[in-house]
Amino acid sequence: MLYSGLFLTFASGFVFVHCFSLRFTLAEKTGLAFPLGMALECFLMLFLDQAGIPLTPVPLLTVQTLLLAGLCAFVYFYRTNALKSLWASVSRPSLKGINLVWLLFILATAYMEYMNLSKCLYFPPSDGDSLAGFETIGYILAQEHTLKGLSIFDASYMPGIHGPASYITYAPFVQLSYAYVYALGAETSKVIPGLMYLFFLLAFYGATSRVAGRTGAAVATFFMLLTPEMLGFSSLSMTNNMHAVFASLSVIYLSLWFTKREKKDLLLCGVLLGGNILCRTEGIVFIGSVLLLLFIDAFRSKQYKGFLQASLFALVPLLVWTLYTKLNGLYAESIAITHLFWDAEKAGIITSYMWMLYNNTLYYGWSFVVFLIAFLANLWFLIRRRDSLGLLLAIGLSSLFYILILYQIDYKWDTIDNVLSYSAKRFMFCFIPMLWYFSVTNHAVKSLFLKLERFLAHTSLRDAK
Amino acid sequence: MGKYNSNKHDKQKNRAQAPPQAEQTNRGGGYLTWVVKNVGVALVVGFLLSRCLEVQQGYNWAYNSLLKGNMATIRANPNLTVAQKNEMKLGIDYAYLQFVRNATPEDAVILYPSVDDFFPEGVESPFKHGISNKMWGLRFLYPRKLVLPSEMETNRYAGDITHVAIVNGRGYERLNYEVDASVVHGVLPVKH
Repeated sequence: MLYSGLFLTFASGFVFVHCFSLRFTLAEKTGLAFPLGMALECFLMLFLDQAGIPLTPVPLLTVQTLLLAGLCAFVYFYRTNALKSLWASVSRPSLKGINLVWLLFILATAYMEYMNLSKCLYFPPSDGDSLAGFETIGYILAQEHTLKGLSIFDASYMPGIHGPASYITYAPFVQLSYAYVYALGAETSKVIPGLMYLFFLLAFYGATSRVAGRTGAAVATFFMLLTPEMLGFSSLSMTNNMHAVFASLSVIYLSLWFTKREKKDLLLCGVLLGGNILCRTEGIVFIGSVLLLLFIDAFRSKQYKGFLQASLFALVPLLVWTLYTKLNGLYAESIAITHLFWDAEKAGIITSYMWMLYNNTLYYGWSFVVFLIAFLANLWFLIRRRDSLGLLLAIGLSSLFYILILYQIDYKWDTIDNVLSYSAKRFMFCFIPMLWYFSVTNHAVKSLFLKLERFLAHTSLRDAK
Repeated sequence: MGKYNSNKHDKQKNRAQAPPQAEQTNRGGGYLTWVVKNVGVALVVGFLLSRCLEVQQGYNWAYNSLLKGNMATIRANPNLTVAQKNEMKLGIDYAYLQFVRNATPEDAVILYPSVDDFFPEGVESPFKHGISNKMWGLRFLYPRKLVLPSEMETNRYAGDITHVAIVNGRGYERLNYEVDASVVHGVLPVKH
């Protein structure tokens, strides 16, 4: 039953991507399939739960089968030659950009991910934050078949449930996806973070290769995977890496939209933003920055339709989740300071911690260093051609909004030092893929990779399309 | 002129006929160049990559300790059960909760030790992880209900307690009968 559920999740996501366009690469379609399929399933679980339908295997698999059927019908009626296009990409893979350097990085990435996935699936959840939150909620949810009516959400049983930063208000993606696999008979929930990260690598590679070529994408994927702290957390059952999947890909697709002006990327950016907010509440910083940039872009071109569609995809999950929490009394004491104020000491602590994180090569390897070098190398093209400007603005604005949120929080449930040392460190995972994406897709570095590919390509493949 | 033309014609003819052979030679030479270039660059990149994994501390840790170290553990213990793996990761915290789980019925209401009981000041506690967190404990004890000593006034199950959990020799005073307090870690029923 678990395998059927995982297959249905993958299949729904795979077909869902086709609803936007048939022209994504096979790596993108495959890579996005599992994260989007899981996000769709969790989104539907909220409706099932609200309707009073128990979250047991039969309703879960039935609703997912119906979803898959509906998506297939949409693709069949609205996307002509879907099967032909899929078959073409599978049966006639392009060999352009294939070289030994590419192969070396792909094999190294595959080997490392094999070890990472093995570790992830072998060990049951053991990280404290997850056992005190998402993992336990998911496990109990699978026994009690409801989220809104969970016994651990009952204040007369858990007296601190409505206290500041309580787990009752955690965004639902992780606990619902854990509940999904537990309900289908999984022994541990680690299959979710394991598969999320595996598919993410594929999606990141697919999206990056559209701009940087295969070799650049392989190099970026390898170093992104190897980022020490992020790699360590990718095999735990925490939310941060799963959040990074949605948040980073949404910004990457925003950048693809600015670069290629293909509507499919814009819509996918919106959908991924929606997934991002279902993962973690801080995801609002990416919604804020990306929608702001999209609005400026729409305002300049006087074309608002795409912006509105992307906003709809981004905001509907947020609205549904907010409504769900209001309807079911899932609230906690606010930790936000809603008025503006100036606290030089607090600002100083936050700035120094963030600076320390940017400089920490033990946590993030060479991610920030390479980003800085690439930024400087591309400065000329940035100034003259505004190359990668949208991406840089998205990264900068999101960071700024996050720092503002850290500043506006009233640290009454934990110390600011703890939050900065642990939460902020992990929040940075969202930026690592963006940094590597920029590092290989900016004009200066991209040109080098494309030259390398041409140098290493066989004459018969050099000019192949 | 004619000769020249004739020669030119021959050359053109030869050239027209040449491609298959030339292409053959080219392709042979092309493949050799391609292989040499690729192998050369791949060797250089491979060397740099291995140096990078050695020199950069973070990457070194990720590759050698995190990935290879854990793979060695996995290969050495391929057939462990989930419970054994939990014990491997969570140590005595998990072993204690498993003991409580096995010693109590599913509908038990357990008076769960406080943080101070698990980690008494000035005493070395065998517990290392987040066991004092009620949610953490519930992950392994569910569907049993847990009541903390601090919740005796507020928890709806406070009046229905069936068992008292004992850790570090603490918790005996919460029982409603006298008992030999020699057991350091355990769980005892409440008399009704």
